Amino acid sequence: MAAAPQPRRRRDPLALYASVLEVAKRHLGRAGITRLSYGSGMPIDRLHPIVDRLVEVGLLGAEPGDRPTYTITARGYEFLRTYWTLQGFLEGIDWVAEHERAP
Amino acid sequence: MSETVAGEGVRIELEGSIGSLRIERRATVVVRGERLTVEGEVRVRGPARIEGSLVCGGFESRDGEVRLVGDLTSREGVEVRDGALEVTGSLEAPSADVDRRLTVGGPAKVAKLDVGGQLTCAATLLAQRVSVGGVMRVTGRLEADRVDAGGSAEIGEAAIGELEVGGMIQIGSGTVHRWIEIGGRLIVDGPLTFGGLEAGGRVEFRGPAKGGSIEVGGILEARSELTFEDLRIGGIGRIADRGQGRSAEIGGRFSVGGDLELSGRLEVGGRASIDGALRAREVEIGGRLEAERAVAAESLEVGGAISTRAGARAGRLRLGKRSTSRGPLIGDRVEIGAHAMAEEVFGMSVLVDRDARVRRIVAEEVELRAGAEVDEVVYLRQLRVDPKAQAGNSRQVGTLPPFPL
Repeated sequence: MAAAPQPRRRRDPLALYASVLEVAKRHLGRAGITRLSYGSGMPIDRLHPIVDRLVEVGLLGAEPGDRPTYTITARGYEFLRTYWTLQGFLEGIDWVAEHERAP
Repeated sequence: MSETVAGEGVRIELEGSIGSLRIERRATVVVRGERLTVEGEVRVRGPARIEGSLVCGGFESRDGEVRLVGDLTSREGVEVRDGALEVTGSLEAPSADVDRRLTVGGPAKVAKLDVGGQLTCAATLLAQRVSVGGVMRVTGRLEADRVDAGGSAEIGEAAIGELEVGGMIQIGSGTVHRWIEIGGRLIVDGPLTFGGLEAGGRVEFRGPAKGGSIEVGGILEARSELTFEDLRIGGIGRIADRGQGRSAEIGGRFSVGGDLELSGRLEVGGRASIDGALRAREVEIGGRLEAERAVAAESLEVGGAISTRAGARAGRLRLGKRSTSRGPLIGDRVEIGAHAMAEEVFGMSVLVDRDARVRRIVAEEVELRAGAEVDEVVYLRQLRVDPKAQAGNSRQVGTLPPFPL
C-alpha cells in the first residue's frame, strides 16, 4: 500500500476547529483536554484557547469539574457537515484548476 | 495475593507465576523463560520496560511510555492513562483504553479498543469496536464490527461492519459490509465492496469497486469498474472503465471510459462524456453529452449539445433551446428547441421549434414552427409548416425507411 495521503494544505483555523470537533465526536462526551490534545495532535497550551472558543460559540459543550470533559453539540455536528461539504466544493474547484493547467 | 515490586530505576528478573506486579518509574523487568504469568494486576508508574512475554489479570499504566518486548495477554483488559504502550509481539485483551499511543508489532485481538491519539498495528487486528481519536494505521487485516477514527486512517485489508473517519483514509482492499462515512478523502488501492459510502471531499478507487449508495461531495475517481445503486457526486465523477447501477446524479462533469448502464436516471449538471454506450431509463444533461451511442427507454433531454457516433434514441427526446447536435436523433417524440441545430432526426412525431435548423427529418408526423428551416423532410402522415418556416425538399412516402439504432 502506498503511503498515506498528506493533508492538502497546512491546517488553517477552520481545519483545526474541525479536527478538535472530530476528536470530541469519537469520545461521546468523555473527552478531556488530554484526549482532545492526543487526538488532534495539538499541544494542550495551544488547544485550550481553541476549545474555549468552540465552547463559547456552542460547538462544544463543557462538563465542569477538576478535569472538565467536552462533548460535541448539535451545532458542532452542523459545523462538521458544513466544513466537509465546503471541502467537497474546494476539491472540485482545485481539480478543475489543476486540469486546466495540464497540457 | 503477594505483590512483587520492581522499584524505581531497578532491573529485576522474574519467571514463572507471581501474584501481582508493580513496576515503578524507569524500572526494567526481564522475563526468564517463555513468559511471566501474573495472576492479579500489573500496575506501571512512569516509563518502564518489560523484556519478555506477559500474561496477566489486568494491565494498568500511568504517566509515560511502557515498552514490552514480547507478547501481552491480559484477561481483564489494558488501561493506559497519560501515556503510551508499545508491544512488540501480539496483544490479546477484552478491552484496551489508551490515552496517547498504542503500538503493536504482532497480531492484536482486542474486543473493545479505544485510543486517544495514535494506533499502530503492524500485523492484523481483530476487534468488535475500534475508536481512535487521531491517527490509525493497521498494516494487515482489520476485522471489526465498527471502526471510528477522528483524524486519518490506513488499513491494509478491511473486513469491517461500519467505518467512520473524520479526515482521510487509505484502504488496501476488502469489504465494509454496511456504511463508510468519511469527512475528507477515501483512497482504495485494490478491490472493495461496501454497503454504502458517504464522503465529503474526494474518493479514489484504484481497483474495481462495488457498493450500494454512493454520495461524494467533491470528486469521485474510479480507475477500474464501478458498480453502485445510486451515485450522487457534487462535483466531478470519472470512471475509467464501465459503470453500472440504478441512478447517477452528478453536479458538474461526468466521464466514463467504457459503457454506462443505469436502470434508472442519469442527471448531469455539466458535461457527460461516455466513451462507450449509455443506456438508462431517463437522461437529463444540463451541458454537453458525448457518447458512442445513447439510449434512454423513456426520455433524453440535453440542454447544451449532444454528440454521438451511432446516434441517440429515446421515447421522448428533447434538444434544448440553442443546443447543437451531431449524430442521428431517434425517438417516438423528438423536439428540437428554439434556435437549436440538428443533423438527422427520426421519429414518430417531430417538432422543430422557432428558428431551429435541421438537415433531414424522417418521421410519421412533422411540425415546423416559425423561422424553422429543414433541408429535407420525409414524412408518412402529416407535415405542418408555419408560413414563416421553410421545408426544403419534402416528400410524403407510403413506408418510412428503417431508423438507425
